[in-house]
Amino acid sequence: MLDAAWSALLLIMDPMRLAIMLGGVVLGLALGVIPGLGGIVGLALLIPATYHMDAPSAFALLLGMASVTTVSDFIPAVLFGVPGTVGAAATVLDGYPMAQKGQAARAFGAGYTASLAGGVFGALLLGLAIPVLRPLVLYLGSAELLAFCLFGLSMVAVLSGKAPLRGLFVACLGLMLSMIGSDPETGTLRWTFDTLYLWDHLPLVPVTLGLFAVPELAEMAVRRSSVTRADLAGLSRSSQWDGVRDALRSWRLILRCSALGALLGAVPGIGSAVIDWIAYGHALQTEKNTEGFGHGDVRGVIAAESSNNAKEGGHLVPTIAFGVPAGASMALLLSAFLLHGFTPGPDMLTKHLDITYSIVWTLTLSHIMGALICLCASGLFARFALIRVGLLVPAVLAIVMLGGFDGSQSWGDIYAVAGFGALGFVMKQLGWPRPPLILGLVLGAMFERYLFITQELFGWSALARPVVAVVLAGSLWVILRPVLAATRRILANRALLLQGRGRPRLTLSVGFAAALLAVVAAGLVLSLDWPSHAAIVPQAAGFAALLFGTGTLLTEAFARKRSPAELAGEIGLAIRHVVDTPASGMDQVLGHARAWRFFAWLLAGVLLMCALGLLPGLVLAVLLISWLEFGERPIVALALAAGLGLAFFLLFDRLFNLPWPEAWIGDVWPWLRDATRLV
Amino acid sequence: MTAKRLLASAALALGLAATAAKADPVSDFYAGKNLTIVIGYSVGGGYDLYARLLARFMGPNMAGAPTMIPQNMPGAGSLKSAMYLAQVAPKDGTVVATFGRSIVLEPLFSGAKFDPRKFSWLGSITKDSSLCVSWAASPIKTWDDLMTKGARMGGQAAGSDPDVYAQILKTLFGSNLKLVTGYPGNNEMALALERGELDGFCGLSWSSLQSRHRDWITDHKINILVKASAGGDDEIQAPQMIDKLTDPQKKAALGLILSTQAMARPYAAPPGVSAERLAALRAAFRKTIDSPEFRAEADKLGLDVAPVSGEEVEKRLAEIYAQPPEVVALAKQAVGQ
Repeated sequence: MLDAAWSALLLIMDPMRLAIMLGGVVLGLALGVIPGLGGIVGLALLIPATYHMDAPSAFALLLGMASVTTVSDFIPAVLFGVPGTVGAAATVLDGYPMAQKGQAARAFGAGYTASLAGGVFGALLLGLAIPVLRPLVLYLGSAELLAFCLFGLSMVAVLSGKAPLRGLFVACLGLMLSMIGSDPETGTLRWTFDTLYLWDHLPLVPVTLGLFAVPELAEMAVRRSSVTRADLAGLSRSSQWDGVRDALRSWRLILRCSALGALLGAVPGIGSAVIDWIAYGHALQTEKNTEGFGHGDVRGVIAAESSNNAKEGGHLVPTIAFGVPAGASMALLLSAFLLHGFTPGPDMLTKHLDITYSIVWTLTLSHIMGALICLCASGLFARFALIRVGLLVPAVLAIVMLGGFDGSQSWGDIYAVAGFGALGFVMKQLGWPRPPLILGLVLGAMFERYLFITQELFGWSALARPVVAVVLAGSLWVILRPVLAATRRILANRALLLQGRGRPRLTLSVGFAAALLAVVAAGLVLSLDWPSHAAIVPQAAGFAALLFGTGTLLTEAFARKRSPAELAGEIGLAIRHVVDTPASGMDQVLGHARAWRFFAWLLAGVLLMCALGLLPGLVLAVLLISWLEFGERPIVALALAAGLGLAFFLLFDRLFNLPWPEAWIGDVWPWLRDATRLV
Repeated sequence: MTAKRLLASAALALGLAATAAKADPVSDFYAGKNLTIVIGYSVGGGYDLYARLLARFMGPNMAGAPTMIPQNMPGAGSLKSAMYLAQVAPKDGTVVATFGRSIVLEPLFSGAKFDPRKFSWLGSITKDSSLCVSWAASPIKTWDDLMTKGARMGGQAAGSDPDVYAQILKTLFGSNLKLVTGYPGNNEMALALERGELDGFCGLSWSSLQSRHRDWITDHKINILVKASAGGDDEIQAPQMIDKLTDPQKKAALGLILSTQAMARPYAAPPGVSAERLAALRAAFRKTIDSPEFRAEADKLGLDVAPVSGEEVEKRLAEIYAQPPEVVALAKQAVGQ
């Protein structure tokens, strides 16, 4: 085994292969920075290019690229609050506030160190686990996968901050959203409204970008500034070292979150979109003095980044040992294995052991390369945050739209980014937690599948399986701890709570809860004529949503009026009220007007795209927003729009061969569609 | 350079010169253009692998040597790409699409609004056979076991191949197998087999068994319980599903479903492509598939090649759509829709 590891190291240390790996790393970093693009796009692009390479070089290129997208996805998350891939959403929560407080460099230092440590840890675990990989994976049956789903869902309790009812309500909504589409059991089309788009379930990328990126962009548009400028000027190596030291101090947290990331990464179906949240929840639960989480605590960044990079090693476990990809990018990698004549499975652990170890080394080296490049270049990256808001917001918004569109290449993706953007903004402003929605959305469909399989194959005896029992006990502990704490608090403050109870008050939050309840009720009515097997899980989620939603509504309506300080403490994980507590010198009316205008522009942009074609409409919208909304000079706005349009065209049309969706103008003049293929 | 290759290239140069001199309108049209292959699935699957292989080799074989562009358009189990081909794609012969083999039955079964008979069919790269397999350690070892012993067979979703063939066994053959559905894909079911969670699963195509799990055959890890195809697969040692039926109506219904196995990797241009351009597309399609480079590369990837002509696909579709409504209804019921 050591021999194989050693000869694999020699194999990979070949200068040509190292150069190829470096190329992959640079491309991976670039893709990770662009919101919505990531390893999947890169693999689709690169796999054909590896036809004529030998296998270790091919894997050096592919894995070098795929494993570092989660290193650089952190950069836009910190600078703009826009996650570069779905795995960086949890990083936004603390990374962006850090940048706003002038600690972007510290966040970078801590984040890259955590990424590096996590990535190496994941690779190490994979390397060490090779002899026991197969029995390990065989031990995880459908019942165990179901237990892991429940564990993930239990994190909702932690991630809801001190608003557990809202969190549970939102999580149930997420579960319901995950049930949209063709039902696996009976093929019933649930809540698809006769669209092909919803048939395949809501894609994750546009939803994540909508929920987490659009609200930050809207706030930037309201504030008219991105990150506090003065602080960025002081972005020096020294403060970056502070971040590195922060990370080194939190080595225990890094180890725990890396282990969590690597283990969960090995479970097929639990992807990067939830792993970062689970690690974040774990940090919240186990660390001391967590009041600062969500307001720029460096440990939040460290937890999310280390788990997210350790995941890659875990992802490779089932792929190599059994040919079962743990995620979409691994499915692509699998096709590359086949292309190079390797059938993943037992042979990879015996006959092709050197290839397997060369993969482990590639993973390690590429993380080191990626982290070093990012550490050296962060000063450069940070300059992006100095770009004027009038150029930054339209440009980033356009990138987010196209990144979301890459999700399933339909108009639906564009609507989803805009719709979930508005939803996310309202939730953020009102202090509703957004992570539970993502957890419900990702884990819901998986939960339903394995629930039916487990029930069919094992029944209640599933509970007697040791892994299931341990994981479920862990989930119970995760749920019960905050619930018990809350109960104690309520009992202690009984008298206080009863005060001021009387006439219901109609706040925005009450209205929002009522609106969501109406949607849930409508969904339940629509589900009435589904066959029972198709209806049982969505209806259970729907009734739970009704229960928690009504609870939320009543608490909100009858709660004692609280001081802003109390509110801030209560919301915990969320949320800075930009519109209601504007920066100095801006009145609230102006803040609200700007927020409304932002979403009006978003709607106008979507309409323009539908009418004139996605790319032409997008370019025109960038021009108009930059010029009319932000008052940029027409020539500057034109240059921005033209530059972006050209870059998008080269990238998405020429390089990725994206099929552009049909627009109204192409229906009217079919010759235009046939001639340009853009509309 | 050997004399033979020299001769060949000279012939090629002459040929090129001849085409240029003739100023063939089809060549003129395609010269310098892109020919897009729309793939109804995401990158990495079997349909994608075949399409990208075709795209690598077809350009030079086509009149005017257009640039081949593979373009993925996944959605609704490839129904999205079929609808795109029927309704949106330009009809000038610059777009070709590939989609799931059973998509051509959707208009009959689910009322999807397109007519596959109107497509300009290039043909199929190969035929295929669908298998029911069981793990060697399972008590289910033969067709009779599958019928009577309550086998736990895996499924993915209503309408997917494993579910469809398991449903057929239940409805047309009265098997008492237990369909455990919900697995995300073939890989997960393979793992469940190895764990002993399932006895087996249906709908495993012979081609993916060859390319993905060759050790299953060589190391005798599985039993092939039955094969279901439109014929021409004598190398597979298993009973043919349709031979086990006697009732003519049931036979016709199963035949309807199985005839799509004869167009396992189908390629079509939109309806209304001009006859000359369709002829050029068909010729290039066939020439590419028959070329030694294509065969060698397909062999390396473990992809079966047994081309089916566009004319034959048209014939099969005409037969399918000529079936009486009661046969269609029985087929629809058999697949559980």
